[in-house]
Amino acid sequence: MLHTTIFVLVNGLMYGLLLFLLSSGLTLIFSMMGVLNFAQVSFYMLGAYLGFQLMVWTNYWVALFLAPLLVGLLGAAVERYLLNKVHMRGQVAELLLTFGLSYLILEAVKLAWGVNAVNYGIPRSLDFPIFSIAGVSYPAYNVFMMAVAVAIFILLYLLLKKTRLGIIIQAALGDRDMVGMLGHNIAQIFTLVFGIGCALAGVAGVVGGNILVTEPGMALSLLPITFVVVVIGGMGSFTGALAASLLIGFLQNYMMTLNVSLAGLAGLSMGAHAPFYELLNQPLSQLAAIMPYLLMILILVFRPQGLMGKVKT
Amino acid sequence: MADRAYTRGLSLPQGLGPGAFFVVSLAAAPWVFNSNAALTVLSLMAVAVVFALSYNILFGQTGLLSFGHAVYYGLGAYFTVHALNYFAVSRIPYPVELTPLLGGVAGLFFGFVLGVISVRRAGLGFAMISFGIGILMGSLALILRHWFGGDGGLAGNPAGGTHLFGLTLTSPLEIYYLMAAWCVVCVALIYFFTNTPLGQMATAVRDNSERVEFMGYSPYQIRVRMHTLAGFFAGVAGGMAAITNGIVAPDALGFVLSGEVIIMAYIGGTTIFFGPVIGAVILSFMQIQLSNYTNAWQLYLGLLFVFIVIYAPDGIAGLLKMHAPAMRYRKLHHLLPAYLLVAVPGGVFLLGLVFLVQMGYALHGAQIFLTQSFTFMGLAFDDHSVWTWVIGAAVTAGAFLGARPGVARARCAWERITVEIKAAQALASRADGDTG
Amino acid sequence: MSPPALRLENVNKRFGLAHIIRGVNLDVCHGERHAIIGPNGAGKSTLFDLISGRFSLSGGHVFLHGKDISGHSAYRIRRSGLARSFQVINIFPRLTVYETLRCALLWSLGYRYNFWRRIQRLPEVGRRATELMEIIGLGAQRDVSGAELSYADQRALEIGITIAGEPNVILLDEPTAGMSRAEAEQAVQLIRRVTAGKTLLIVEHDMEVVFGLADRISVLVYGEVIATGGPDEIRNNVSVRRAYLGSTAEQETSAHAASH
Repeated sequence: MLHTTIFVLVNGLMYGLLLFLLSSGLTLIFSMMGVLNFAQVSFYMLGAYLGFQLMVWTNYWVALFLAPLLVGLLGAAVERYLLNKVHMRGQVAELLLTFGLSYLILEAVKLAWGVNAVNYGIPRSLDFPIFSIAGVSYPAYNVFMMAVAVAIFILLYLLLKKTRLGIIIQAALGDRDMVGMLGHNIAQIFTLVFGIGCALAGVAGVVGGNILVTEPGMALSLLPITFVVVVIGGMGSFTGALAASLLIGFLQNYMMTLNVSLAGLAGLSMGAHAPFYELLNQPLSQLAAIMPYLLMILILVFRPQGLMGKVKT
Repeated sequence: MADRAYTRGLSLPQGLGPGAFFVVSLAAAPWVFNSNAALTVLSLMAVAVVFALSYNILFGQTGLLSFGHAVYYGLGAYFTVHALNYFAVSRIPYPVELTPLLGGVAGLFFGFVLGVISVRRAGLGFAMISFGIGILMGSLALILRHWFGGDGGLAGNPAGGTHLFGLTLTSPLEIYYLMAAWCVVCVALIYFFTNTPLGQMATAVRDNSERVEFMGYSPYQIRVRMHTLAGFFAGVAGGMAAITNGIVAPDALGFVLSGEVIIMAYIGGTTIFFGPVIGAVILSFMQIQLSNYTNAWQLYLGLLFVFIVIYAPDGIAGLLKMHAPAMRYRKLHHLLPAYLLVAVPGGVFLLGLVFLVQMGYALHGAQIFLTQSFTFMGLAFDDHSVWTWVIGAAVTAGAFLGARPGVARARCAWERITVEIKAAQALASRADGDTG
Repeated sequence: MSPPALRLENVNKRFGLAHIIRGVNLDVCHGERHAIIGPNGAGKSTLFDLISGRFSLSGGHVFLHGKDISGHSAYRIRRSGLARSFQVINIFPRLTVYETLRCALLWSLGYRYNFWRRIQRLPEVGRRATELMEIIGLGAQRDVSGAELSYADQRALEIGITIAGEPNVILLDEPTAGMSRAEAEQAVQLIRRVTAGKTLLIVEHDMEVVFGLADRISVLVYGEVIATGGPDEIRNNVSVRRAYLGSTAEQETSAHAASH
């Protein structure tokens, strides 16, 4: 029992922080620019592939530095040459553009690396068990990943709340003409923010691509969960995103240990032809994958602004 | 303005033109494409037309960008297949030809229930929520293996059970005409709804939902109703697909399809009623025909989509509509030289792009399948030589730059005829004033 | 005695720490034309937002014909017969003038969420919309979309939307903002015509318009009503002169300078 609890806590923390890593760039771009970047996970995928490629050519640490830089530059170019052309047409046009972009990145990745998973491994220097619970040992690399996630949270928090740039950016959101008159070029700031947001996705790709799997389907498989994190956390809130990531991490890992069904919990026994028989008699571990979406719906019904979102007046 | 056509209550003669063209081409298509395979393709196009128009009830008309519209299509398809299987063995004489209606009812029900939850927000909030609901239902379909038939899906035989008008639904031609009939009925109904009080208020909600509240309407109530209607027609489309294919799998609810319907509607043009029809035909064609020739068709689709989003937000229908005044005032010939100047280098550029992409795929395929050599338009090229790449890239880039003078000239020509048309209009209205 | 058309009782609004509206009491009688004046930032538009249900009240009550409408949603308040216009143009960019007015009429004509009748077949809707179009002087712009109208025409449409469907209490928020003198005079005539016999509450900066139009005037300064009375009373009120009227010219110029 104690083992299970620790198991859930550790796995939940790990998965939750990985989710935060994934959604941090999305949250940054959304909160600063009001752009919902559908291609965020595509940049994550690109980060993972570039990380893999650079690790083959050089080593992991070079990859960890260079891959996010390249992804960030690509992101900045996308903002500069494509996204800002539709900026005036509003959020839906921007979302559609990034949606189209996700197709292009996916096809480009298939073109460059093929349709099968690549063998992106953990760097040897961090590939040793650091502790073990109930016979399952955890590689040091996972702890490294968690440290990166925490570091990014702290950095972003400081960047936005404590630095001049952060204050300017937040002012830019409030009143663009005003800041423009103060001499800070808003267009450049937006390019920079989008670039940083994509670079964050690149970091998540390099760090998370070898914990999960690096294949062309990885973007689409992670996209929904990052959206759910952002909706549950409250759109654009960092602390909200962190809280939602951890909540989902813990809940999902907890559910996976449960072998009982909803009907079993309620003490129902029903015939195979009763309505919802199949749903109610699924073991909860099977339903863990859809739990985040159910949670999202519950949040929407009872707290539409999300955990930490601002209420609109 | 092209975008107004959607909202303006088109008087019947105006609406009748494209409508008559649409019906005639649906009826005549089997004479041109008469192989069984082609007839199935045509049936699926009819399905896509209904699906794309149902999507545009949400996006073009109500301003709701949904990323999970396939849910209602897929559920409609499943209910139809279950109905087919049920009526095949039961004594209830429900005709197979009308089963898409049951799919529609399923779509209507889920469109209402899920709409109540999801349209509490519009804009990006709705986009994300519809996406989440789409993924939720798609995953549920895989978990509930009994009802959804697991990965392989469920089969249903439209030939069994009771039939109307002596149909048997055993030949692709019969199925095609059934689909065409459903398509015409649905298109007519969807068009009808755009001109009702609810349909008009939906366009008002799209434009400015806040002001609608100060007209006495609840935007939420309008959105729920439009979401329900869109669910109904998506369900009918799903039911039509189930009859055409005779099988439905969980990917009918999946995100890939939800994404495709966005692309269909948007490429065709969401601000014009018949726009999504054009998009549905183009995408079905690419999907079914182009995918035989190249693996890269989705890349081309993505490029087309991004191009449309940036440069032609009213889609292909919008581009066509843009030329209507020039046509009416006989100014089209002023544009042709400039268009030719763009078309020649532009065509070379597109060919070059396709060449490079196909060569990339070939190079990649060579590692896996050990294919012999890369052929493009009947010519063999050495895809391993750097020079092939350099020359290809140079020609492509050169063509891109070469198209620029033409674009500038086209822009000039546009400005010129716009002024001329405005002047002609002013003249005409003054003449009106004199006589009246 | 019947209750006043509109009554505000100790209406309050806070945004976080900022206390924007501080206990406003106001009675507007049937058929009265009542103007609210006050310096920039006094909370005039906020007061309209509170009455019309755009914002929720932080305290107090609003009564419409004696019925408490505090906390009602905007569309419910509109259905009870109170309509408003906006200071910043708030129309439908892609709908034509005719379509816009038709939409504005639908609820009051009882068509609600009807989806089984063609809108062109509803003779009353078409007739009333055409009438309204002539009244606001946009008959020639029938098929022009909201975004393409000139500024003055957008303002006229703004009023058209507001008066569609015969509301009995009308709130107009700076209907002549940004207009030339001639345009403003036309607008005043229009307002006179369309609000005859109705209750009107108007926020206006143009003093000529205010004193020419209003039966009674209330002065709002820093979220409080400091005086209410007839035009002459207000003109001669010492505290009003000190707080507002006397300093108007000065403020206008300084505001002008600040915006450059």
